[in-house]
Amino acid sequence: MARRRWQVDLRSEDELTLTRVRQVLGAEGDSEAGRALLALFAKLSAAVEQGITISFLPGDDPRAVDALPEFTRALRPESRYRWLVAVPHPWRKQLSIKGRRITAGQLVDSMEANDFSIEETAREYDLPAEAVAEAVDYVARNRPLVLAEAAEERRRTEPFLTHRATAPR
Amino acid sequence: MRLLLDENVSGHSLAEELRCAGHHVETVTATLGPGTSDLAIAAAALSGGHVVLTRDCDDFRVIYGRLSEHPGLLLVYGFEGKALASGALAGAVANVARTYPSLQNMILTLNDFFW
Repeated sequence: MARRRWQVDLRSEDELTLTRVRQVLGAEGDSEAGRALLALFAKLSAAVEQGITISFLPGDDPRAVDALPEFTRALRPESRYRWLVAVPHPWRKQLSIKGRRITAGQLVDSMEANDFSIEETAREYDLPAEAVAEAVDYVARNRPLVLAEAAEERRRTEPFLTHRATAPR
Repeated sequence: MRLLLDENVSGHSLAEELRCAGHHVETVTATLGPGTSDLAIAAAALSGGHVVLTRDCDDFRVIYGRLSEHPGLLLVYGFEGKALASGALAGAVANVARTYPSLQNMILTLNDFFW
Protein backbone atom coordinates (compact mmCIF):
# COMPACT_ATOMS: atom_id res chain seq x y z
CA MET A 1 0.00 0.00 0.00
CA ALA A 2 1.41 3.41 -0.98
CA ARG A 3 2.09 5.64 1.99
CA ARG A 4 2.45 9.38 2.12
CA ARG A 5 4.59 10.98 4.80
CA TRP A 6 3.19 13.88 6.78
CA GLN A 7 5.76 16.25 8.23
CA VAL A 8 4.66 19.03 10.55
CA ASP A 9 6.67 21.84 12.10
CA LEU A 10 5.73 22.00 15.78
CA ARG A 11 5.84 25.02 18.06
CA SER A 12 6.72 24.32 21.69
CA GLU A 13 3.05 24.50 22.76
CA ASP A 14 2.25 22.00 20.00
CA GLU A 15 4.91 19.67 21.42
CA LEU A 16 3.16 19.75 24.79
CA THR A 17 -0.20 19.07 23.18
CA LEU A 18 1.24 16.19 21.16
CA THR A 19 2.67 14.68 24.35
CA ARG A 20 -0.78 14.97 25.92
CA VAL A 21 -2.36 13.36 22.84
CA ARG A 22 0.03 10.41 23.12
CA GLN A 23 -0.83 9.96 26.81
CA VAL A 24 -4.59 10.36 26.44
CA LEU A 25 -5.05 8.33 23.29
CA GLY A 26 -2.52 5.70 24.37
CA ALA A 27 -0.44 6.25 21.22
CA GLU A 28 3.04 4.69 21.14
CA GLY A 29 4.68 7.44 19.10
CA ASP A 30 4.04 10.57 17.06
CA SER A 31 2.87 8.64 13.98
CA GLU A 32 0.33 6.69 15.98
CA ALA A 33 -0.77 9.89 17.74
CA GLY A 34 -1.32 11.54 14.35
CA ARG A 35 -3.38 8.59 13.13
CA ALA A 36 -5.43 8.64 16.37
CA LEU A 37 -6.17 12.33 15.88
CA LEU A 38 -7.26 11.70 12.29
CA ALA A 39 -9.55 8.88 13.48
CA LEU A 40 -11.03 11.21 16.10
CA PHE A 41 -11.67 13.87 13.46
CA ALA A 42 -13.24 11.28 11.14
CA LYS A 43 -15.57 10.11 13.92
CA LEU A 44 -16.69 13.64 14.81
CA SER A 45 -17.10 14.80 11.23
CA ALA A 46 -19.08 11.67 10.28
CA ALA A 47 -21.43 12.38 13.20
CA VAL A 48 -21.95 15.98 12.11
CA GLU A 49 -22.58 14.88 8.53
CA GLN A 50 -25.30 12.55 9.82
CA GLY A 51 -27.11 15.53 11.34
CA ILE A 52 -25.77 15.28 14.87
CA THR A 53 -24.86 18.48 16.69
CA ILE A 54 -21.85 18.12 18.95
CA SER A 55 -22.62 19.98 22.16
CA PHE A 56 -21.14 20.25 25.62
CA LEU A 57 -23.10 19.31 28.74
CA PRO A 58 -21.82 18.75 32.29
CA GLY A 59 -21.00 15.08 32.77
CA ASP A 60 -23.64 14.70 35.49
CA ASP A 61 -26.41 16.18 33.31
CA PRO A 62 -28.94 13.37 32.76
CA ARG A 63 -29.23 14.42 29.09
CA ALA A 64 -25.51 13.87 28.52
CA VAL A 65 -24.60 10.87 26.40
CA ASP A 66 -20.88 10.17 26.21
CA ALA A 67 -20.00 10.16 22.50
CA LEU A 68 -16.32 9.51 23.19
CA PRO A 69 -16.17 7.12 26.17
CA GLU A 70 -12.58 6.08 25.43
CA PHE A 71 -11.59 9.75 25.60
CA THR A 72 -13.47 10.28 28.87
CA ARG A 73 -11.96 7.16 30.44
CA ALA A 74 -8.46 8.26 29.46
CA LEU A 75 -8.86 11.79 30.82
CA ARG A 76 -11.02 10.99 33.85
CA PRO A 77 -10.40 7.34 34.80
CA GLU A 78 -12.65 7.69 37.85
CA SER A 79 -15.65 8.08 35.51
CA ARG A 80 -15.44 4.31 34.93
CA TYR A 81 -16.16 3.70 38.61
CA ARG A 82 -18.98 4.38 41.03
CA TRP A 83 -17.04 3.86 44.27
CA LEU A 84 -13.61 5.25 43.37
CA VAL A 85 -12.73 8.93 43.24
CA ALA A 86 -9.72 11.12 42.55
CA VAL A 87 -8.57 12.85 45.74
CA PRO A 88 -6.40 15.98 45.54
CA HIS A 89 -2.93 15.13 46.88
CA PRO A 90 0.51 16.72 46.45
CA TRP A 91 1.86 13.77 44.45
CA ARG A 92 -0.42 10.74 44.64
CA LYS A 93 -2.57 10.16 41.55
CA GLN A 94 -4.25 6.80 42.15
CA LEU A 95 -7.94 6.68 42.98
CA SER A 96 -9.33 6.26 46.50
CA ILE A 97 -12.48 4.74 47.96
CA LYS A 98 -15.28 7.33 47.94
CA GLY A 99 -15.91 8.81 51.40
CA ARG A 100 -12.99 6.92 52.93
CA ARG A 101 -9.30 7.69 53.28
CA ILE A 102 -8.13 4.45 51.73
CA THR A 103 -6.49 4.26 48.33
CA ALA A 104 -7.41 1.51 45.91
CA GLY A 105 -3.83 0.23 46.20
CA GLN A 106 -3.89 0.10 50.00
CA LEU A 107 -7.14 -1.86 49.99
CA VAL A 108 -6.04 -4.37 47.37
CA ASP A 109 -2.62 -4.74 49.00
CA SER A 110 -4.28 -5.69 52.30
CA MET A 111 -6.63 -8.06 50.47
CA GLU A 112 -3.74 -9.82 48.71
CA ALA A 113 -1.56 -9.98 51.83
CA ASN A 114 -4.34 -11.67 53.79
CA ASP A 115 -5.61 -13.86 50.94
CA PHE A 116 -9.05 -12.33 51.46
CA SER A 117 -11.82 -12.66 48.91
CA ILE A 118 -13.69 -9.56 47.75
CA GLU A 119 -16.50 -10.33 50.19
CA GLU A 120 -14.09 -10.88 53.11
CA THR A 121 -12.33 -7.60 52.34
CA ALA A 122 -15.68 -5.80 52.20
CA ARG A 123 -16.54 -7.14 55.68
CA GLU A 124 -13.07 -6.28 57.03
CA TYR A 125 -13.33 -2.65 55.99
CA ASP A 126 -17.11 -2.16 56.21
CA LEU A 127 -17.35 -1.50 52.49
CA PRO A 128 -19.78 -2.63 49.81
CA ALA A 129 -18.38 -5.60 47.84
CA GLU A 130 -18.85 -3.54 44.68
CA ALA A 131 -16.38 -0.93 46.01
CA VAL A 132 -13.77 -3.63 46.65
CA ALA A 133 -14.38 -5.16 43.20
CA GLU A 134 -13.85 -1.75 41.61
CA ALA A 135 -10.58 -1.31 43.53
CA VAL A 136 -9.41 -4.73 42.32
CA ASP A 137 -10.26 -3.79 38.73
CA TYR A 138 -8.53 -0.42 39.06
CA VAL A 139 -5.33 -1.88 40.50
CA ALA A 140 -5.25 -4.57 37.80
CA ARG A 141 -5.34 -1.82 35.18
CA ASN A 142 -2.96 0.55 37.00
CA ARG A 143 -0.52 -1.66 38.92
CA PRO A 144 2.62 0.17 37.65
CA LEU A 145 1.23 3.47 38.99
CA VAL A 146 0.22 1.91 42.31
CA LEU A 147 3.64 0.27 42.79
CA ALA A 148 5.45 3.46 41.78
CA GLU A 149 3.47 5.41 44.37
CA ALA A 150 4.25 2.83 47.07
CA ALA A 151 7.95 3.26 46.24
CA GLU A 152 7.58 7.04 46.30
CA GLU A 153 5.89 6.85 49.72
CA ARG A 154 8.89 4.94 51.05
CA ARG A 155 11.46 7.21 49.36
CA ARG A 156 9.90 10.35 50.81
CA THR A 157 9.54 8.90 54.31
CA GLU A 158 12.87 7.11 54.91
CA PRO A 159 14.95 10.21 55.76
CA PHE A 160 12.50 11.23 58.48
CA LEU A 161 12.41 8.02 60.50
CA THR A 162 13.82 8.77 63.93
CA HIS A 163 14.86 5.18 64.73
CA ARG A 164 15.78 2.16 62.63
CA ALA A 165 15.76 -1.42 63.86
CA THR A 166 17.17 -4.72 62.72
CA ALA A 167 16.17 -8.19 63.81
CA PRO A 168 17.89 -9.24 67.07
CA ARG A 169 20.44 -12.08 66.78
CA MET B 1 0.49 0.27 73.65
CA ARG B 2 -2.34 2.75 73.02
CA LEU B 3 -2.97 2.59 69.30
CA LEU B 4 -5.14 4.55 66.91
CA LEU B 5 -5.49 2.67 63.62
CA ASP B 6 -5.88 4.87 60.55
CA GLU B 7 -8.59 3.90 58.06
CA ASN B 8 -6.08 2.28 55.71
CA VAL B 9 -5.12 -0.29 58.40
CA SER B 10 -8.46 -0.49 60.17
CA GLY B 11 -9.46 -3.98 59.10
CA HIS B 12 -11.36 -5.79 61.85
CA SER B 13 -8.88 -8.70 61.91
CA LEU B 14 -5.88 -6.50 62.70
CA ALA B 15 -7.75 -4.55 65.40
CA GLU B 16 -8.85 -7.84 66.97
CA GLU B 17 -5.36 -9.37 66.84
CA LEU B 18 -3.89 -6.30 68.50
CA ARG B 19 -6.56 -6.28 71.22
CA CYS B 20 -5.95 -9.97 71.89
CA ALA B 21 -2.26 -9.14 72.30
CA GLY B 22 -3.19 -6.72 75.09
CA HIS B 23 -2.99 -3.39 73.28
CA HIS B 24 -5.56 -0.65 73.75
CA VAL B 25 -6.85 -0.20 70.19
CA GLU B 26 -9.13 2.40 68.68
CA THR B 27 -9.86 2.77 64.99
CA VAL B 28 -10.38 6.03 63.13
CA THR B 29 -13.41 4.54 61.41
CA ALA B 30 -15.16 3.66 64.68
CA THR B 31 -13.93 6.49 66.90
CA LEU B 32 -13.71 9.51 64.61
CA GLY B 33 -15.75 8.38 61.60
CA PRO B 34 -14.94 7.49 57.99
CA GLY B 35 -13.19 10.19 55.99
CA THR B 36 -11.64 11.97 59.00
CA SER B 37 -8.76 14.21 57.92
CA ASP B 38 -5.15 13.43 58.81
CA LEU B 39 -4.91 16.60 60.91
CA ALA B 40 -8.00 15.63 62.93
CA ILE B 41 -6.55 12.14 63.43
CA ALA B 42 -3.25 13.60 64.66
CA ALA B 43 -5.11 15.95 67.03
CA ALA B 44 -7.14 13.07 68.48
CA ALA B 45 -3.99 10.96 68.88
CA LEU B 46 -2.21 13.76 70.69
CA SER B 47 -5.08 14.41 73.10
CA GLY B 48 -5.66 10.70 73.74
CA GLY B 49 -1.98 9.73 73.97
CA HIS B 50 -2.32 7.28 71.07
CA VAL B 51 0.36 6.04 68.72
CA VAL B 52 -1.04 6.38 65.19
CA LEU B 53 -0.58 3.36 62.91
CA THR B 54 -0.97 4.35 59.26
CA ARG B 55 0.01 3.59 55.68
CA ASP B 56 -0.14 7.28 54.70
CA CYS B 57 3.53 7.58 55.64
CA ASP B 58 4.48 10.75 53.82
CA ASP B 59 1.39 12.72 54.85
CA PHE B 60 1.77 11.85 58.54
CA ARG B 61 5.53 12.31 58.74
CA VAL B 62 4.99 15.86 57.41
CA ILE B 63 2.39 16.56 60.13
CA TYR B 64 4.43 14.93 62.92
CA GLY B 65 7.60 16.63 61.73
CA ARG B 66 6.08 19.94 62.83
CA LEU B 67 5.24 18.72 66.35
CA SER B 68 7.65 19.24 69.23
CA GLU B 69 5.98 16.47 71.28
CA HIS B 70 3.88 13.50 70.21
CA PRO B 71 3.07 9.98 71.49
CA GLY B 72 4.72 8.27 68.51
CA LEU B 73 4.03 7.37 64.90
CA LEU B 74 4.13 3.88 63.37
CA LEU B 75 4.27 3.78 59.57
CA VAL B 76 3.67 0.85 57.25
CA TYR B 77 5.15 0.71 53.75
CA GLY B 78 2.91 -1.15 51.34
CA PHE B 79 3.30 -3.96 48.83
CA GLU B 80 5.51 -6.20 50.96
CA GLY B 81 3.53 -9.34 50.12
CA LYS B 82 2.41 -11.56 53.00
CA ALA B 83 4.40 -9.42 55.47
CA LEU B 84 1.37 -7.15 55.56
CA ALA B 85 -1.07 -9.86 56.66
CA SER B 86 -2.88 -8.94 59.88
CA GLY B 87 -1.00 -11.55 61.94
CA ALA B 88 2.36 -10.31 60.67
CA LEU B 89 1.49 -6.69 61.40
CA ALA B 90 0.38 -7.58 64.92
CA GLY B 91 3.63 -9.51 65.39
CA ALA B 92 5.63 -6.48 64.26
CA VAL B 93 3.76 -4.25 66.73
CA ALA B 94 4.69 -6.74 69.47
CA ASN B 95 8.34 -6.51 68.39
CA VAL B 96 8.17 -2.70 68.55
CA ALA B 97 6.69 -2.86 72.05
CA ARG B 98 9.44 -5.26 73.19
CA THR B 99 12.15 -3.03 71.69
CA TYR B 100 10.90 0.33 72.91
CA PRO B 101 8.94 0.75 76.17
CA SER B 102 7.73 4.15 74.94
CA LEU B 103 7.45 5.60 71.43
CA GLN B 104 7.36 9.19 72.68
CA ASN B 105 8.49 11.50 69.84
CA MET B 106 9.55 8.51 67.72
CA ILE B 107 8.71 7.91 64.06
CA LEU B 108 9.22 4.27 63.08
CA THR B 109 8.34 1.99 60.22
CA LEU B 110 6.72 -1.27 61.19
CA ASN B 111 8.49 -2.85 58.21
CA ASP B 112 11.71 -2.79 60.25
CA PHE B 113 10.11 -5.10 62.81
CA PHE B 114 9.02 -8.11 60.74
CA TRP B 115 11.09 -10.80 62.44
